Amino acid sequence: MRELAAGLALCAALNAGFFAAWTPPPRPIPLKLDPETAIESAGLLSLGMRRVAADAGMIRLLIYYGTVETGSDEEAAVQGGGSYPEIGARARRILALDPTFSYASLWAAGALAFNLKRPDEALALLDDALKADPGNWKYRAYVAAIGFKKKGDSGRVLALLEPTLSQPDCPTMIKSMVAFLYERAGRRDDAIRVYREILATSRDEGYRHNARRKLEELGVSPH
Amino acid sequence: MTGLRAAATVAVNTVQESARSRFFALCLVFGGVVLYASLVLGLLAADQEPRVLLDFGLSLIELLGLAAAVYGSATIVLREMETKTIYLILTRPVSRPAYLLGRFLGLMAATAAAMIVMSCLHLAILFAKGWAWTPAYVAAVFGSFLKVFVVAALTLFLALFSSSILTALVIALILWTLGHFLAEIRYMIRWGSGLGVMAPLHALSYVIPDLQLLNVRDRLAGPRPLLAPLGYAAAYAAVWLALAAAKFSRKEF
Amino acid sequence: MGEAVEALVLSGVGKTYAYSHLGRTTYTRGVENLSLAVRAGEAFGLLGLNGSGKTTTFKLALGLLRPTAGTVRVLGRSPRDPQAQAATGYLPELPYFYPFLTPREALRFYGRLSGLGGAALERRIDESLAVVKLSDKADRKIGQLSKGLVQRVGLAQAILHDPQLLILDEPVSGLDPLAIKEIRDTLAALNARGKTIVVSSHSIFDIEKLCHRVAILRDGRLVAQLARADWANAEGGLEQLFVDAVTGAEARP
Repeated sequence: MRELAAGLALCAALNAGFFAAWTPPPRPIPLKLDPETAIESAGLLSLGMRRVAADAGMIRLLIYYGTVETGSDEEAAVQGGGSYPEIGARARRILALDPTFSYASLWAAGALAFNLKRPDEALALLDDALKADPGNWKYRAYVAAIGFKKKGDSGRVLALLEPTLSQPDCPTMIKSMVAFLYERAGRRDDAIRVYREILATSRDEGYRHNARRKLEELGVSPH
Repeated sequence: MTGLRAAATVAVNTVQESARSRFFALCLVFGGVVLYASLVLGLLAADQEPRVLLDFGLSLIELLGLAAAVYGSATIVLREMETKTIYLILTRPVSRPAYLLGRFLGLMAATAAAMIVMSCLHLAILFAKGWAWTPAYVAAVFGSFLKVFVVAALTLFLALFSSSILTALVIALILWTLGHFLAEIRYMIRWGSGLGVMAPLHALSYVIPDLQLLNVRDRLAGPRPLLAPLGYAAAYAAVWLALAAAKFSRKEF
Repeated sequence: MGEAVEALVLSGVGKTYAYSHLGRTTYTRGVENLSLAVRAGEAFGLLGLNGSGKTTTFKLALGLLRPTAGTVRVLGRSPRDPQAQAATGYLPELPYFYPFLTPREALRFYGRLSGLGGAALERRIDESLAVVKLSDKADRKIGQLSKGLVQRVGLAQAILHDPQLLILDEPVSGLDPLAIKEIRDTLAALNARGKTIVVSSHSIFDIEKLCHRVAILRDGRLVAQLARADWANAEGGLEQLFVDAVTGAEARP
């Protein structure tokens, strides 16, 4: 028994002394568990798997957005329509789990602003993302691009989004949209470049198929 | 013979025993199977497939390392006591602390080897999927190993203290989860300050190992200090190993 | 280590086991007021029914247990003194070895723990295997050996480091008659070379043949100490004297 008591006392002293002498990096904010994912989140967090929980959230978000909503027009869904009211909340949840998972926020903001025509929701999400990761220039670029999209200035949208395309966290959805905007603006060479990049880097077979088709329509080879 | 030499001899024997252990082999086979499953999961993540593969794979490597080390720590000495193989060691000029240290370090060497093998397999899959190398990977695996090291040292003490494999395993796993939940526990304590019912939790929060400190796997994109956490892990493990040695020195057979 | 006239001395030794459960402690006597001295170079037998304290006596001599009363001296030193341990060889009842090792590998492990190494260790391994007639099976996995052969491995590890004192707990337990004779002859040869042997056995016949003196225990107490002349001249031999002692009939001094 005395060894156990000694151990507990030494550990308490170690913890107190260590954290008095050294400040660890900031920790993620304790999570509020929502009813639907409480058990899964608690389980994964208790195993130190915040990133895995965020990944699971992202997979579910992609499945959510890729699933035709009950009662909606299937054609509209294929064209990116449908309401998908939970996108913002789901993306915020991923952000709370892993503030550095910028892909999730950029993807959700892009879907809200450019597909679902809900720019204010996208801006609110990006505002939260910037609070969690204030140094992230891509969030600022998206905020500005959405602002110009609201004003109908595609040229400025393209200029703001172009530098983000080469970043590893750029969603293929954004690349595909940018390529489409280049096409519509008559900037054929830029459109071809972006479609070819989608083929080279994207793992989403849907977007790759679309890129291949677009390149055929533009009369060029995929490479 | 010198304590270090005796410890090294016992450690080598422990590595041999672990390498031939069915449990270790099962861990590796299971690891291969689940890595394959994470490949399938990665397909659902489309653009984020490399990240999903990375995160799931690192978590798996850590869990398998934990299973092997904690099970080994809980059983390695108690089993020798049951089969009486320990008599043939302790009746030789081998100090009991040297024996215990040898067993523990041998087990951790075997665990590290298993984690390295799993990591090599994982990296092969990652590179095949176009993942870009980052030195954070090594830091992540090392951080996982340190967590396993701390909890394994605690488990060894618990096994000797309770003389029960099951008790040691259960308490070790509870401490593993609490060690990751410390931020939330401290939040609850602040939220419930003034409530007497929080007092035991408050006391517990001082002795639980802060495993989040070593959880580099979950901070791949952020700051990853390693030196101070390494010192913390070494000190925490040393406390429980020293107490295990003291307990074991007084044990009768 | 210098020659001690008495290889093993127990002076007024008592050992009480305390078992605590749910707040209640029960005490069981292992041995009580046990005094005996084994002279260097003699073969000394320890007899008694199951539970009479033979194994407790051995464990006290080996330092696996601490006496609750009295003192134990092995070659003039405390049983846990490294020099005493280096000069003592022990064969437990029904020895168990790691099944994945061969006899040679097992002896190498125990030999290193006894402070041997290099060419000297390999030489001693060969000699020990030859003494116990196990040379032709030295490289077969212990898990594949019969009980009798495993017993020989046990004896080989006990003599490996050329100890002055051999403590053997039931060395012929469960063996066939031919194996028993071979082991007995081996022990006699070792004794003839000057090794002190302390042996327990349920086989009165073997003890009669091998030992110069015997002690008989009953319920943890010494009830008789006999020399060869005593049982050689007694009607019914050692067996009758043993039966008288353990049943409480008057034993001859």
